[in-house]
Amino acid sequence: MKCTELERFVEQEGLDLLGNAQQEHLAECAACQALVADFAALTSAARALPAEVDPPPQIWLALRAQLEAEKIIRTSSDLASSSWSDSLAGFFRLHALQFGFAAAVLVAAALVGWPPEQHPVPAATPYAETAAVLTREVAHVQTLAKTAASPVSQSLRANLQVVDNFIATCERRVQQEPQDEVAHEYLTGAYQQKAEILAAMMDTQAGEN
Amino acid sequence: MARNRPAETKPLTEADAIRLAQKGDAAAFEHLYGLHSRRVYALCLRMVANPADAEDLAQEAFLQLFRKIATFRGESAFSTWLHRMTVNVVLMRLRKKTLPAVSLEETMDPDDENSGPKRDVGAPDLRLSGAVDRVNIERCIEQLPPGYKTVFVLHDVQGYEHNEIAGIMGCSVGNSKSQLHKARTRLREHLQEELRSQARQARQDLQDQPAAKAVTKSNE
Amino acid sequence: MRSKLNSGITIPAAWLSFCLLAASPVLLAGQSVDQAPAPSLRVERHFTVSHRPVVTIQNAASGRVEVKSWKNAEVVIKANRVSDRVGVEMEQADSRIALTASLAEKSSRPGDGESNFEITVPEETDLEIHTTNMGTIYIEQVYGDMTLESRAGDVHLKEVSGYIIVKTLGGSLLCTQCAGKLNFTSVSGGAQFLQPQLSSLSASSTSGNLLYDGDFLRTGIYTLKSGMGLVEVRFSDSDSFDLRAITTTGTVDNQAAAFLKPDSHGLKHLSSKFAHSLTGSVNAGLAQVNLSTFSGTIRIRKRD
Repeated sequence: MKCTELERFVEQEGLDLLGNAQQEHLAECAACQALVADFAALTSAARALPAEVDPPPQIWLALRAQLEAEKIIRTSSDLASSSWSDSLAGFFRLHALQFGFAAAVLVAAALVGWPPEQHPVPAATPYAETAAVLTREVAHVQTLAKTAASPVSQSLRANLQVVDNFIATCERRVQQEPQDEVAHEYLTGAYQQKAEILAAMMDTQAGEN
Repeated sequence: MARNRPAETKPLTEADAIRLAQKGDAAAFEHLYGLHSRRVYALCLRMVANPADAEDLAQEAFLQLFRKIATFRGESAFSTWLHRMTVNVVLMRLRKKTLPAVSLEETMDPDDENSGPKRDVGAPDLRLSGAVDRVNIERCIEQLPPGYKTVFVLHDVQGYEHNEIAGIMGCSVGNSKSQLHKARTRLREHLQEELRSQARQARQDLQDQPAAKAVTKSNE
Repeated sequence: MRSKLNSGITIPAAWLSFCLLAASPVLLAGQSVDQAPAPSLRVERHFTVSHRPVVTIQNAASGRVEVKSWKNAEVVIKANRVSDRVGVEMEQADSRIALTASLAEKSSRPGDGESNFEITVPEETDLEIHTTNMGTIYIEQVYGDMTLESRAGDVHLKEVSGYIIVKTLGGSLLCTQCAGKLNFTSVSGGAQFLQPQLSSLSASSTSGNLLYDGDFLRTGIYTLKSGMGLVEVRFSDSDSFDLRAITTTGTVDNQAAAFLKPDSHGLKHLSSKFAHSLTGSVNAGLAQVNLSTFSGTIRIRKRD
């Protein structure tokens, strides 16, 4: 048996089924002995690694929030509860991280020359915390607004303006009618879209630089 | 079947949970998540080695799965379907990166004519037995190209059989075996280099010690 | 099998000669290379596949991605690049084909980052397409699961069937004679569903207009939701569906009042004091149609 044949056998049949022909070759070939022994050592070490790892709890929280928002989960959830806004905040943070940034996406209300004016959300409303999450994290969106000139960047900025306008409208409604569930739904969706746009803007910015 | 299968945590069977989830039942989704999230997260963590990215990928994989759950027809095992989606999500993410180390070139190359074990002429023949620990092997797994890494993690870490891996990766059983062999070969090379590097460092540390220098001097 | 066209590899002499030859008319004309359009670079690759393939496309270049089908067990990719600033990689792993187009560096040449792709696939193919630039995605006569994501480009689907997910930020969707289940979300993009045969539809946009002009299948569920845009459905005599239309501050323009009866299942819908709503049934109410806007108009029309 040649070394190539033994290696082919190991590839196709594994290490546990070495027969007489393979053993005879191994008895005479130090290199193949080393190969088999090394493979056994590394597979043994690999098997000792955990095959399962407990995921952090925020994955499910964020996932559930997204599934409810997309109506894939059909359940009546209390949109005003603080636990819901916690999971939403977690969702925004995780969703933005997909582009490798340590901080979540946001738009700071203080973007220079960036209309429209953000309507401050009263602290008493359930979205105050969500809005605070968006405004607390990074982005170099301000720089992006000034420097990005590509058609894609312009399109993203225009979309951001659309969403900001809509958020302002919904927030006014929610302030006036806190029990309006439809308005709550739209506002939730708008926040999610805002996070996605900002993540896309940062990704585009990273690609353009 | 493979080892380390997730245990049933509730009386609800997976088939029932799938049926209920297809109707939008929240508890059913949570049950399915509970059944599979640990393996999915472990797979993501092995592939990207960054907990934040792994969280994001695991979430994305489940999101895609649950969005499509209405289309699940039971033609393959649910876990295979889920892991296939997870692998897709991970590989798509890795393709977005431009790191030169993340090369997809060597992922699926059935025509590779490389034959026989590599012989590193002149270098000491380092055996891995007894020298491979968790830190070493985790570090070396991280260096594998994505395709090799996926097959190696699925087979040698998570215990899937080749026919299951073929279903997950969308390749043939023969291809899965070939990729696993190449992954192990590459891993072996990385580990040998790692051990050589450690041995060199150990020798260097020894020479730098004052006592050693004094002994050396007295022997001259 | 793999084709790597990035400029990171050593350029063979023949390739260099081709580039010089292609560029020579420009040079001879005395124009600055920076200002003249670059020569087109065309690549074609064939991939044999054995069963329902998965084709993934990651396109960072601008330009069109067009996918059509044929009866052969083969995937053909034709890439037409404007310059070698666009890097194209194609690879195959059994029945998984991956196409990646990336932009190597900035250039001042007009249209330099553009690359158009024509992909021919077996009729049954799963697709995952992500474009991060302005390009249009066009798919015709493909049956399979599809995830299509576009930032600014439009998506056109014609005679496509399967579980289809379309996500855009600014691009619009035009869906003609599509079947299966479809999920569409966008910020400002609208959607038109013409002559559909969809058994399930969920379409939402913050400001885009949504139009559904086609049949509602028995037991189908159709949800169209727009924040500020117009939501319009057009139905025919033979359609049978329950309708629920609700808007917070917009209006419901019911141009088919004569055909809308009280709910045929005898259900009483509680109207919300916070919204304007309209409920009823057309014929036996075998499908479910949910229309919603925040401030946009909801219009219900019957086709003549």
